[in-house]
Amino acid sequence: MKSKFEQELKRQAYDAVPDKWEEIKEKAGVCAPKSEDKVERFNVRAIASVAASAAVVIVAVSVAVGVGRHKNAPQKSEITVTDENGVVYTVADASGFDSIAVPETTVITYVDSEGKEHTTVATITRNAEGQKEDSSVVVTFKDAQGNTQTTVVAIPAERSTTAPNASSTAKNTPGADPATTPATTRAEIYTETDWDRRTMQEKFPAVQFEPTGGLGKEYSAAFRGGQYISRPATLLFSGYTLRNINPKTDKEETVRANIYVFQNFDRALAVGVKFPGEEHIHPYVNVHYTPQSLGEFLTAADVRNSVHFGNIRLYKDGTFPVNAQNKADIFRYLLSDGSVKNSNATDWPTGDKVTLSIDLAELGQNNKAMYVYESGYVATNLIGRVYLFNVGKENVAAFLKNSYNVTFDDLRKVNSGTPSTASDTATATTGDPTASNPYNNELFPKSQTGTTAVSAPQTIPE
Amino acid sequence: MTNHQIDHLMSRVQSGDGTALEELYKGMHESVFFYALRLCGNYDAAQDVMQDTFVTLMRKSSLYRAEEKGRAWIFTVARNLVVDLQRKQSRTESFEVMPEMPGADDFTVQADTQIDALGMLDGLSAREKNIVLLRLLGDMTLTEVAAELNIPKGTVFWTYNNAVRKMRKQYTGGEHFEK
Repeated sequence: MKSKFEQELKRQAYDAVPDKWEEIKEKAGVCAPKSEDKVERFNVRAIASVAASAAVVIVAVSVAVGVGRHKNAPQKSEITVTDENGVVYTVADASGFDSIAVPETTVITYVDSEGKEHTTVATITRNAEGQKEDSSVVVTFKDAQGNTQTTVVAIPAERSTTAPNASSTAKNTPGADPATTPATTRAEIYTETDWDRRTMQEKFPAVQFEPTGGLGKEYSAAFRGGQYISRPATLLFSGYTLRNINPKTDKEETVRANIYVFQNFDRALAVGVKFPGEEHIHPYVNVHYTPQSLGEFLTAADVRNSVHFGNIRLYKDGTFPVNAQNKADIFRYLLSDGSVKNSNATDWPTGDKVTLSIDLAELGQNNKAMYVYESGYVATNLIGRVYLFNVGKENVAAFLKNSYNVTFDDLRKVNSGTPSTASDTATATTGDPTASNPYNNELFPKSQTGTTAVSAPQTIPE
Repeated sequence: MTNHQIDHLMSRVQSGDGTALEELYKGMHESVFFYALRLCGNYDAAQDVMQDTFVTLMRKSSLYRAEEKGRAWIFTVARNLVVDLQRKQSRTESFEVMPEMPGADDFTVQADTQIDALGMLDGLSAREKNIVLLRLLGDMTLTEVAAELNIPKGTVFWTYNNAVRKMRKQYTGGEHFEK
């Protein structure tokens, strides 16, 4: 019998458990019948992937998906997969697909039945079978209506050489499904995560602090492979205990490490960890760090000195390097007013935007994005969370005008006339940007004259 | 939820009854979540594992045999999903695209708030926290906890009661719940 206190604690804790039933229902194929078995069609074009192996098989593949749902019946998918060369791949049915939990992510753009284009994040799951002849991946994403869509992209053998890693799993557990077979031996399961072969960051990927003292509650290793940074640091705690469970033994492992504060990085954002016997300090980042204002963010991450702006995508297929003048304009027009609050708006900005790729390499944050919306919002996922600042539409317009001599109207004109197929895209992005613009020879850009457009970084959504 | 109830529900799940899965979810998802949280130590990962556990139960229901220890079986599915997750994390980069969806920020704010609700566990030792997570929040029996952690049942009992005493002291409104 539990005491009242225990019951109350349990009740409070249970209240905090997220309700994922709707997602489970969708994922498991437990769907209520629809009034009509409407078949929707999507053209899906994957434009980027963070998973290099998956990228090879996904990028620039066109998929048409038809979805019909029946109660208690597997989701039937009518799938026609066509690659950029017009080759039609295997038609498959997601319901019969035996996958394991190895999801990776990609950004896809799909065109709905009304011809409207949407960009969203999709999860890629590899085929557990790991077959060599005809490998497949499952692409799962939410459409604009919030419905989960799943499709299988089958990859002919000659295109599947880099996928799927899951085959190694299959070898480790022959004939067994690692997600459902309790009898699977530990030795088989943990082949790839052997505790003794982990780096110290892999063994102790998180530092947890009590929620006091202005520190974040949990910091995650910025790198897992042993990288470190040489930024000056001062000792914060000595002999602080880091803990983790050794999955092989199920026993808690501990290490006493020294915790440092980096110069010019807010300790609420990142701390350094120096393990015993090591010379270097490894950065750990509080991925839940949330600044109250733009100024707080700029200071905490030492943005002016530590962040690198890579490219800017001004229009579809038009991506250019950010030069020193552009960077100065970014700080002059977009990141100048430190008093701008980090918005908690529930409505995500809509409308046109340009995209910048940004890195904070010292903290392991690479190929992140900064969206600059015509409506005046600047959004970034630099640290892990999405920060949203309303810097004003006038400032956004001034940034584009002064740095690139364009307006959003100009960009819309270019977008509406830019070829949309993958092969055409390749031509457009490697040529002279002004030559690819049929509308206005003065469009690009004061500070970019004579430069060549470059391909967009893979993780920047269109 | 008892093993007998799980047996019954799983047999309905095996026959494709989606409502049975929902009942199973309602009865077990909190336990599975806290079990996963104990293994992952990460709120976001724990909810992914919780979600995937029930998807797996549906997809692989044919592997379930009646008269098995249903609760242990479900926890083992969750455990193996955690292992998959750890394996995946060890070889992939972090999620590095910005999801373009309304309320993306809301989610993480909510997650933090929820973690704060569990702040009382912070004052416990690792062993105490493990036992409380499994016994009180994971809704395991002491025998199951002892087996899970591979420590004697008496130790589990003693440690658990000690932990609850500590938490009651910490709790600002604790007097309200004193005997």
